[in-house]
Amino acid sequence: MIALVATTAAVFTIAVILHFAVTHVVHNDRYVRNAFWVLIATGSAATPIAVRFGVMGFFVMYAALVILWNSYLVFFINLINSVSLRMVDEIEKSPTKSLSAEEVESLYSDEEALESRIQTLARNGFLADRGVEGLKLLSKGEQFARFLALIRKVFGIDSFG
Amino acid sequence: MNDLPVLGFADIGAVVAGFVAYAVFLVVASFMRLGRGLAPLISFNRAHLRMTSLYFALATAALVFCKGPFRLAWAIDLMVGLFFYFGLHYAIFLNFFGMAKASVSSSIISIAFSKGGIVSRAEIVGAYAGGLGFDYIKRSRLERLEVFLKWVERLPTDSTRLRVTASGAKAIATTRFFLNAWGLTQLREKT
Repeated sequence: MIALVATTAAVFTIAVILHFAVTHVVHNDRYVRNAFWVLIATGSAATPIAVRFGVMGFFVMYAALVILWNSYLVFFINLINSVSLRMVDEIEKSPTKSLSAEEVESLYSDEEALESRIQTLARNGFLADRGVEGLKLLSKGEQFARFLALIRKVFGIDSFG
Repeated sequence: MNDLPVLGFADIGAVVAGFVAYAVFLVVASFMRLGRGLAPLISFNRAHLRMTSLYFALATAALVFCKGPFRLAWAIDLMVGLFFYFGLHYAIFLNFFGMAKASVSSSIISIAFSKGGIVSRAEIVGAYAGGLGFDYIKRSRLERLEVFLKWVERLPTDSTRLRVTASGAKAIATTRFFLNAWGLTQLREKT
């Protein structure tokens, strides 16, 4: 087990270093997609080593890598997208290092917050912006909505937002 | 000649115990309807933490069955199994739970779905958070910052104004360090 843990840790570390390098070389906002391909590349390169642990060891190693990589991505996604952190940052950078609650709330208009989400959803194929006709949910969005409804039903989530 | 140990089922007993314990947790969470209420994430995580004892019981039983009497070397197996028990929760499943409960984008999709697939922006704003509106996001976040996270506090001289606490300053410094190191920037929604 020690050898498996050490090998998994080494592969993960190499993947992190590779992703670090990619984010500095490839300047785009698709850091999640870049991370996905880095994981695929690193995992594929590690396959000859992973198979030497046997079938059980192979699956344990890759299950651990998926968990580690997800943790790594979720960490950055939260740092990048967190409205809470942005609010704290704005207070810290203000001239008097203090803001009223109204001033903090005014920094993030409902309209812009909504619009940025709609544009992201449209760009990823969940819905289509039909202008004055409104927003139309596409097939991918409908499937996702059903998936969300299933999770809410299973765990009794009675409100969302 | 293979110089790496080939793992058999007996070697991954604790890992299997981690998966089984987590599956049992999901079943219990479903039966107990842990998603109810305004703060289900707290209940969800608390229940997961409490059921860690189930993992240890299953893992110990698996190790005794597969490997015989207790040995100190089992500590590594137990830690690896514990990694999977917590990893399945925090790295994978909790993201789906959070998506279904609190994600803004997921809520937009769900509102559109509930209205037959076509919805206006005004309808989304009005229906958000069960009718509390989009403004609810900012109000609840400020409350969480001040009351739960304690990253901001009221000024002693003017209780209407907020300033960053020491822990909030550390959170911002950590954020800036990692984002700068990786060449990433925060998404801005400033007017």
